[in-house]
Amino acid sequence: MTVNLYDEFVYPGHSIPQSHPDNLATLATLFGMTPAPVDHCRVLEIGCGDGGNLIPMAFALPDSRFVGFDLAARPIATGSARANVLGLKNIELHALDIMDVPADFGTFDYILCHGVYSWVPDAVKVKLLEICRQHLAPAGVAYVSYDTHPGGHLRGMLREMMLYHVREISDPAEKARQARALVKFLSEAKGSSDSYGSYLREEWAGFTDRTDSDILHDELERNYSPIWFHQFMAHAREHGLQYLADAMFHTMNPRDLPAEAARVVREVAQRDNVIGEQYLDFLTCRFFRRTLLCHQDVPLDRALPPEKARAFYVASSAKTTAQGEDLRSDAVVEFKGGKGVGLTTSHPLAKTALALLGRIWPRALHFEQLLLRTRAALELPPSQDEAEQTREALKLGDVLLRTYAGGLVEFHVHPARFASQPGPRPMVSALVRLQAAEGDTITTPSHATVHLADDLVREILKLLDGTRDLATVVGEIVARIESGEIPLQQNGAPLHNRESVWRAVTEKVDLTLAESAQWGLFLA
Amino acid sequence: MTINPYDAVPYPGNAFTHTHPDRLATMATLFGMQPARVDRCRVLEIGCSSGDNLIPMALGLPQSEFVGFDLAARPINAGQERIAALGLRNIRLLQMDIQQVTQDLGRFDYIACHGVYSWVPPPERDAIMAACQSLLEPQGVAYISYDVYPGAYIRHMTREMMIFHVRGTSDPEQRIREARELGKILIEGSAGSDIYDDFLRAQLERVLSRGDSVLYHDDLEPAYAPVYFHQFAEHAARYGLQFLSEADFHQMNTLRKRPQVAEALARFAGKDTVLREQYFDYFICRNFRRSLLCHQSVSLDRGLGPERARLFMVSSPSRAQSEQPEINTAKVEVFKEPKGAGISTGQPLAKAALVELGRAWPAAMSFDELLGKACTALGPEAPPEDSRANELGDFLLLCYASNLVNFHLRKPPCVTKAGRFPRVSALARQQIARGSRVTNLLHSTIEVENPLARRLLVLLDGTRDRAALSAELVVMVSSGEVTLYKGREEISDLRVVQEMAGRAVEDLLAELARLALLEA
Repeated sequence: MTVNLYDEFVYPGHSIPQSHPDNLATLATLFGMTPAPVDHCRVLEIGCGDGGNLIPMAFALPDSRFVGFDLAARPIATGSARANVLGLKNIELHALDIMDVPADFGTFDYILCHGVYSWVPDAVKVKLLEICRQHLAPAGVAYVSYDTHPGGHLRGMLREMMLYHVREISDPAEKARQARALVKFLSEAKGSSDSYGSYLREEWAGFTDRTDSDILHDELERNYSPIWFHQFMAHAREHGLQYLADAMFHTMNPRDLPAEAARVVREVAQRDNVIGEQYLDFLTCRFFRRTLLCHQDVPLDRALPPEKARAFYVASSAKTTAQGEDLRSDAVVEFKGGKGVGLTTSHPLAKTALALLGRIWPRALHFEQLLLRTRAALELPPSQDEAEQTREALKLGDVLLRTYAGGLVEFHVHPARFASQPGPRPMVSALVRLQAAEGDTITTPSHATVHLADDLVREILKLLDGTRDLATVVGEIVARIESGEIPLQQNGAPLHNRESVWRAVTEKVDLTLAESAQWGLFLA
Repeated sequence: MTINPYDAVPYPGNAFTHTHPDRLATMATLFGMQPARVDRCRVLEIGCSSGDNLIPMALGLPQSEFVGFDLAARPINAGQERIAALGLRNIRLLQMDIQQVTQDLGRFDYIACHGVYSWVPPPERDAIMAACQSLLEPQGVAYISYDVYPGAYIRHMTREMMIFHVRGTSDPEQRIREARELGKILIEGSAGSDIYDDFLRAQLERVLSRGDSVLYHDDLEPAYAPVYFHQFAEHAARYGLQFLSEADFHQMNTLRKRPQVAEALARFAGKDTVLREQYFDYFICRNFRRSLLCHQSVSLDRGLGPERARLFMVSSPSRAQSEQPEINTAKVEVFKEPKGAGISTGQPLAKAALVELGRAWPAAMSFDELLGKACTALGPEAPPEDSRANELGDFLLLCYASNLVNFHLRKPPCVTKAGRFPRVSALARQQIARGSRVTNLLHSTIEVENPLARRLLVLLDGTRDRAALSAELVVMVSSGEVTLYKGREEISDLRVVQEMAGRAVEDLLAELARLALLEA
């Protein structure tokens, strides 16, 4: 009997925001499809683990139905128990071998399969795409992620060294330990400043905050077969599926490339968009892809005229230091998002809209509402001229599409609902409270995974069930610290003075509430 | 019918020092084997192309016998013509498939197979090992070069991109042109992580700097199968062969001096030679190996005591960095060879030996001769010669491991200074008539860029003395065939040319001697 490695070492499940039906529906809509409404859809996840991705979706979308299966029985049992505790009636998790999926498994509007394709034998890869073909609704969207080249070659280099190094070890924990030891050693022994030395040091830096189970699953799993994007798409085509989009829209668009490289990519993409993206991968050393597929016979409309933006909700964390007159004038203003993406623009409408979105982040606004509020902020008189109104809308649409392509704004068709500020008796969802009780990661209503800084934050979140005001929360935490139930240290030393404990807890609660608001945790 | 890609675009011919029987015999002797005498041996080359590697060997070792074969017929024909022109009787080139090799070829003391293993499908790789197993004499040595991981991942990556890019084109010239275009775009446009950009650029710059035919075969051939060293060693073991050493001694020892690495190697690999080499590759991201194999039944002695060094002739191109190195004091002097390897030592005997070797370069001398010369240079006050052989032996092994000296079993037939009637080999004269690449007497390929040197090479057949050479030079200048320079200034005044010719000839002869091209 072969032991399922995923039973022995539980792969920690977490949410994959790009796999959320809202994101899939958004991209499908953008490219001319009419996908199922996110709040009334059917979702299948292949290789769902303990439901870390599916449970938060089911929790947030009570009128949609979710089915997940995984070969490993233990995570499925854990996930099912969790769904029960949350009282979820719209989710089923099955322990099932993908090869045994029956023909009458049903039809789904969205099929998700994250982190499986590159790690399974060829027969399973075939079955996986076959399920996408057979069980995807006509206007359905499938999400398949996989490791890709050229990055896969760099990754493979270290992987195979580790595999060889641990070849005679059978104990999983020892395997992980030895793999770490090898990488640590290589990174230190290679003192030189050449690219190989930098590569080893960077890999080792990435190892330090990974758990043993991460290392076992990601690095030491026997089956590992990254492929080029064009090869993946050839495989998908064999199963009647076509390329819809990348789940991270901004990766489809060349950015910051020298003119000649950008020209080649554009030229190739005009003939075949898959090959255009293949060349982008060459240039950007893509390691990983999240590909959205749909049926081959679905007509797609890849043109992106500005009016397409009018269908969406938009959100942006872009920040600018400029305000007031600078936004209204023709001054050039810079906006910065996460991960170094940025935009400079001098257009008053664009500047005002982005500044507005940045202020209300993480909330999303529908395009038309954003347009209204931007006009109001610019104190423009209500226009009676329809042509003028359309021109303004198109200008805003153009800016938003370009910033979406640049990774600076998000588009949604079904944005998460939450309150911007905590009420007098702050409340986070039962899901967040359960997650805080179980561990140090929670899922936000926007389906992002957040790692909690420490145990005190977990304790505070657990109390935010809408029955307590702030003073009560602080009082309960202080009482538990004083009884020794919760340790509290400052600068490495325990706090004894009652007043300083009180002050420290108050600060922590304030900080936690501010962060929770930024993560959009508060229920309206 | 499929066209052999090597018929369509011939691979550029080169002599590979590492494949010479003298090198194979040296490494075998160093590790305790009794290999066949280099000047009385049988040599086989698998994938010999037009014989550019084998012909110089055959010319230099008239009592030894050479056989080469290649699947591509065109290069074989070209090689046979060259052999006929040189009048060689001890070499045969055959058009043959590796799968058809039989015992009829006879047994060989040395087998060389360069640049084939990684570019052929598995059955051919098996056939290479099988040929080594069945055709190698009991004390025979086989040389196989191949691409290895982890370093080859980078080449694999760039190759796959290029092959994808040229997928719609079958015309060789256009494939090469398109591949170069992509290479340039990637070098200029790469916008991945810094590490990716560095890897990619370094590899692509290497690829683009090579000739079209190398690019075509090494980077656009669909078959490419690098292996890990341990896989290569396991493959050899399946054919009753064991790893003897690398053809370059210093490539087994580059990290020997770092205690942290030595400690980890002992921990990870113990005394297992293959494992140690494998971990070496991990450290240095090795991408290419030239490995020597021998029969598994041969017992090797890997203890490298100082007495081993006494078995060899030694030569060295290294020079002291200071103008007047102090030999007799404990002052530390730095010695470097032209490619940059260096060593620093304050040991008087070590310094004296390197100075003597540098003076004699490219000629080699026996260990005892070197010891005698070094001790003489140190003067009568120094400790007596017979007590110092081990000291010198240890030092020379260290220098060999650092790529600062060469070991030989056969004295290379080159001279330190041009004689009265300077002479280069008939082969070099034949080669220079075809192009700028010649094989020197250490079996390396040398690019002769100086047009004057190229013209002079043809004349060095041992019939002309310096006066005759100077006169020829004057004729060449006056006919406008070549130009003489003083500094950057072109010299046209014939009287000045006549005055300068003698000096120019002397300088050129010194340069040719340094390049190990002069037989006399």
